[in-house]
Amino acid sequence: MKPFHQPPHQMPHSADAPSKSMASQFAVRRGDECANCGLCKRVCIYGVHERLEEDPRFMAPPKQEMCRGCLRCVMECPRNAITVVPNADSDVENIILFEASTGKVPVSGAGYGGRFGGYGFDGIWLDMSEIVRPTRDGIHGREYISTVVEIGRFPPYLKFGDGEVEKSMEELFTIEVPFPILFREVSAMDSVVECILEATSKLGTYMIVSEDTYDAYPSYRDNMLVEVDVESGMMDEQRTITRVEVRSGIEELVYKLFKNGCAIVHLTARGDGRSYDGKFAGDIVESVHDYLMSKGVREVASIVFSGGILKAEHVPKSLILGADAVAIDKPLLIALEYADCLSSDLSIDWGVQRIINLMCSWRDQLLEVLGAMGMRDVRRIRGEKGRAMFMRDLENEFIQNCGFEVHENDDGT
Amino acid sequence: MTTELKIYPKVKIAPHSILDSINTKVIVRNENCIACGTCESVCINKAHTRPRGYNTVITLPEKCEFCGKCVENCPMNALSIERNMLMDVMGDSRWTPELIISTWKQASTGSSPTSIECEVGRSGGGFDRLHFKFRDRAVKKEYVDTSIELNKRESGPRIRIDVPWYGGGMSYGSISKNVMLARAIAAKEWNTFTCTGEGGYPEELVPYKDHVITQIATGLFGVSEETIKRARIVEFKYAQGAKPGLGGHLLADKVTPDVAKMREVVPYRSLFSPFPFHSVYSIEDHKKHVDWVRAIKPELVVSAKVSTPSDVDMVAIGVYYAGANIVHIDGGYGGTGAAPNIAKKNIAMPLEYAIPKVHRFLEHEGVRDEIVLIASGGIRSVYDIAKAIALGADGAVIGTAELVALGCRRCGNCESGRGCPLGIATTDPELSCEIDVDWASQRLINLFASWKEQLVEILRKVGVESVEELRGRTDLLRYEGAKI
Repeated sequence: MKPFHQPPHQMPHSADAPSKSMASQFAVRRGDECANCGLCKRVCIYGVHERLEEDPRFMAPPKQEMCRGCLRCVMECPRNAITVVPNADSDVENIILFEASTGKVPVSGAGYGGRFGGYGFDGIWLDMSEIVRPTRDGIHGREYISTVVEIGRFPPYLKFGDGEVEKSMEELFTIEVPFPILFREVSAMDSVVECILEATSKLGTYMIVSEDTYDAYPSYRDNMLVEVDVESGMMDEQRTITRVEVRSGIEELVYKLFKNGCAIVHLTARGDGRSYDGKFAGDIVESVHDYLMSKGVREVASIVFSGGILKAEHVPKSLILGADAVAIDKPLLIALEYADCLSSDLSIDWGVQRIINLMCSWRDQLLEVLGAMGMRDVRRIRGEKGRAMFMRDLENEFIQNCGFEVHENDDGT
Repeated sequence: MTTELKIYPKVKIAPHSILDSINTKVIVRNENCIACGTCESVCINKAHTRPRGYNTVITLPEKCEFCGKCVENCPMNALSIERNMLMDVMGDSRWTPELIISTWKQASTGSSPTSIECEVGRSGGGFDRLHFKFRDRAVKKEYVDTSIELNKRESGPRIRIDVPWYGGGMSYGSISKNVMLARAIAAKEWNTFTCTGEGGYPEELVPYKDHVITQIATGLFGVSEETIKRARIVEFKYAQGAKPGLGGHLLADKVTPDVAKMREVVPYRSLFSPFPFHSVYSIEDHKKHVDWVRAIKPELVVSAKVSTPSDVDMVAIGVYYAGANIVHIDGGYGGTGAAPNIAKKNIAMPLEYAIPKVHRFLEHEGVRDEIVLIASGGIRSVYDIAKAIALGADGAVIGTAELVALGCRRCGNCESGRGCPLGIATTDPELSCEIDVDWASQRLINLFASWKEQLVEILRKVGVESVEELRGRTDLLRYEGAKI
């Protein structure tokens, strides 16, 4: 087992790795009504509209990638010839592409414009520290916040022999991950898998793989965890992670795994973040964590949660619900623009940098929220539900405080 | 209660050729039109005109009220009313396109458009699920008082503002000087306040100093004895709703030499204010802050702007005991010039939950009538203000709504130097010129006039005589649905 107190992990540096395919956030179209008056060129401050270089009587096709959606050209066009439509199907994708391209924390102006609260992670707000509980100095001092987590098998208590910790303890399987995010194996081309594996080793995190992949890439074995099924009975072997599908009533099963020497349990939900019986998977993780706590075994092994982790904010929220770490796959594919580059050749360097960027950005965002929450160590928020606010509780308190009558049949949306 | 009739600032049309022409619907004329002029003759708003000497009819969208008469009477069926395509791309679920357009109209004309439904947004929670229980017959009252007191303690100066809202802190740097000036003029005209934000106190605002709050934020930019002495109210910004637990962000592009000079920093370097105040690690330290500004100017009214963590009620009571006059809670969905996206939604609770929590707690502690509770963060319209007051606040602070009145459509590019196409949230010397101070201040005056009129209407329809009487009257609200 490695010592607990280590200097902060050095992340690899982020660097520009621009997206290939979807470089524009908005689709800007100029219709046939255009009279080539050039007003749009005059009003656009981003340089989307220009005249044709070879024949300045006409307007050039809009440079969509420059557009930032202010709609000024749409509003001012005297012929109503211009339309601007957001490009991506989802914000989630846009954000991941930005993070993977730049490695930066997405920062923007104007307040939050989305839904009020909602289902699953959207109904959880992290708490912050107000005037008291100082942790850091703005964006400075974040090197003092640790994002390192240890996962694996831990002794329930220490046994002392001749003044030393008994040796058997050190044989327990424990790994240290510099930030609480593991990767899941993706079913994709070899080059994509290799990209992710290379990034895994550079970042110092781990990839959850099948036995075949473990055999196929011997050079990356240091950064692999082999996934085994509950039934296989191999769960107490080194470097294995036991897969359990998230559904209601798995508490007892996970408890047994914890009792029987399993090191890491991988609670995996569906890709949309729901359990296999259709509930919010986070709620089940929460109840598993609570159950293990009540049995007094929570500390002997670790829980990795996957399924529906698509945004940086889902990481701290999953940890608060009781996971030690999360595992992701879809964001990696989005970062590699996998859907768009099936046929094209994927440059390994570019792909590795994209994933490093994505993780640098997510880790920085984790630091942002840890700082705001007044936490210096990410391990401290595991299962710490007091450091979050849940919509169900706030809603009840609100209704009670205000004395509202609740009409069940009104449509709340 | 005062019964004298006040003279309020005059509404003057403050037109904008583009914004005025945008509505939720559009009139479409197809190629069947024979320019017969029937539409011109039936339209009571003169929205169609056939200029002399032209064989064509022009539609002026800003005049159209979509009554449909022209569509019915067109002999060639050449006219139709269709949904404006802009409605699909503009705004978001909190600031719906209807709400944005209605705010534009109010700013242009000083009265609220009847044709646009904009009482609530589409965020599916909070204010958008709260509705007033209007009575069938409005209470006829000659005079409905909308003023509130900003100092309820026995000591200190009385400060009464005519409307239950004032402008939030937006720094020089996050917005242009012209916009600050326009806000200050409108605040003076309406006898309310605006706030400097943390970017210093531009000299141009000095003539309006009686209506400008000096903000002291964690960066302490441009804070001096002089700027504190100027103010009647000083606001300590402990946290901001859009980025609770983080300091103010002003990215490098916006730190132009002018801004840098005001803030006494190096130009074109990003400015991240610290969090928290390093002189305040406890409520006792907050008291020290209050004493410190009162030592500079004893007759100050002190406000503390805090965010909404789960212990916001404890923070509020602490703020009271430290001697502040106003506790200003800024909810998580508030506006910002730049904030990490992860902070905007995910940290601290929405305002709607926080107001009754703090209000009840202060009541329970027996100090509610000595401290003023101001709510901000996601207040978009006068309906939101009235709802916040009914939930338990004394008044509200607005920010984004003022910018929308000037033409903002919430594209969210405020963080970049040349990001704002309207010259509102930019410090670029060229873009800033887009805003004319007289025009902008008139638009804000108009917006406030429209709000005041609607507020009086709301108060009448729920049957209370003053805005102070509305405070905490959750019985006048209906909360839609119990779905979570």
